[in-house]
Amino acid sequence: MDTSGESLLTFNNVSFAYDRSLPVVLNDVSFSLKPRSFTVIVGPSGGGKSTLLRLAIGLDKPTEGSVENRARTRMVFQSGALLPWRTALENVKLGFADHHKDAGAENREAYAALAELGIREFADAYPRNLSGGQRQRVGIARALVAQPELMLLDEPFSALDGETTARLVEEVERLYRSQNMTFLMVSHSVEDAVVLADEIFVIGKGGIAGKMTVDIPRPRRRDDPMALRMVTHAKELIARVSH
Amino acid sequence: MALKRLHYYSHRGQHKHPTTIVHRVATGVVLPAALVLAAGAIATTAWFVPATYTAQAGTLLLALGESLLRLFGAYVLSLVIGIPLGILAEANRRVESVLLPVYDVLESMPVLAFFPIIIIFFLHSGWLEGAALFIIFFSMIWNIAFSTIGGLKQMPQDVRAAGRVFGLSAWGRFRQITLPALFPPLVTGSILSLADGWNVLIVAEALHAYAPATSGAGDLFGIGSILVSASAAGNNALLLSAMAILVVAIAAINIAVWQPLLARAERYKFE
Repeated sequence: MDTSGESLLTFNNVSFAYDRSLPVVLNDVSFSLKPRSFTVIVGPSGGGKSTLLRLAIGLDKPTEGSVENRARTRMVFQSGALLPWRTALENVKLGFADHHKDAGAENREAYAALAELGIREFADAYPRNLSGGQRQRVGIARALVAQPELMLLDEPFSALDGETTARLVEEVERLYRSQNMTFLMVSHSVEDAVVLADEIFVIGKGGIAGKMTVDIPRPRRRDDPMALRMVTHAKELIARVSH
Repeated sequence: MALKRLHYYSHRGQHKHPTTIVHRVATGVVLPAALVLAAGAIATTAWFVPATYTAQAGTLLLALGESLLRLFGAYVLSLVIGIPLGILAEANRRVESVLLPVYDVLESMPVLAFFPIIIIFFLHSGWLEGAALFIIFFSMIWNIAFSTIGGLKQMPQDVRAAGRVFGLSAWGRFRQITLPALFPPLVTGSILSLADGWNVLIVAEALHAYAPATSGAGDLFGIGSILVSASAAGNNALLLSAMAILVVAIAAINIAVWQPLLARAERYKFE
């Protein structure tokens, strides 16, 4: 089934197994992402959520089917994936690896990205001296400097406490509204998904078990009755694919 | 003047200990030297170093320099070959399943047992120094290779992926991510390598003990051959002088090279 059309990222009947002797992680998955949309993938652990992102950015190749990615893509990792021997600024400048600019321009843009995320004053700090939330912000800034069309977020809030998560969710929501980017995020939190997503994919048992369109006006609140209903519905779907 | 607060880093432990320069010299140089010399003096009953041996200090230092050069040459060779061997073994599971057992066997091989053959091989090529270099290199390389493998396995998957996601070339990933990430395990591996190197150096320089009499192989000039010769000749004072210089050199390398590198390595560790 060809689902490409105008989309930035298209999965055509994608199946994936890490080894032919191992069970498939994804089985016959098809979907496409429209430009400037925010899609969140939720589902039980081991359901293939992160694998799907790795396939989207080309870190793994599908065993069957095809992935078409037409967008300049960057990824924010669960751990932040910062290099401990580089300062926050130097980590952000790693984002220029495939489109170098002169040193002055790289510095200016890296500082601007840190300022955008509210951590300009930590530019010279090493990752070990930053909090979890600050590290994740550096990771997002590093992805931003490449001015990606498609931003992949792999469980970016999973290692953070509730308060930090809430602040960072707001930050990502603001970025989504202000930047001309498409977001694809993997999350274990249905609540975060409902606050951020235009569309939620529930993934489990190797495939997409359900899709939900979230048409609640932005900015959204977690305690909004409509949001709460969607959370309940998504959790029911996840429970169904978990057994 | 207040003494600068320092830390002592042990490559065997995860902890660093507060220390001062006086404490460090006392425990890192004076105490080990005193212990070794005391043990040596008791064993040889040479309770003092006669004045005539002060004249040999220059020779001993030259011999030490020669030995250090030999060790350094073998160490550089073990880095140049050991790191790629480690990377190769870690490249994928199939390669690892073949290479790791091979490395394990080679590491366990008693290279001294093959030393006579190695000497004869290098005698044929007219480069006797090569025999010593090779045997020291062979004792060092496995620590480097296994440190590389261990370091790569400890690298977070996300960090490995980040280099590719951000479009770094293979060389860029190696230079900007892999090599710095390997810095801490390689410092530890290097310390262990050098320790093995010192052990083998002593015998690697005393070639006459290993080569067949007909080979014509003589000893190589170095602190190791002086130790062996002095011991064989019953020249206890020379033996003690050489031991003293050796201990001080090893302690000085620990303080001047390994301690700063271990301290720096802290900055390169993933949490």
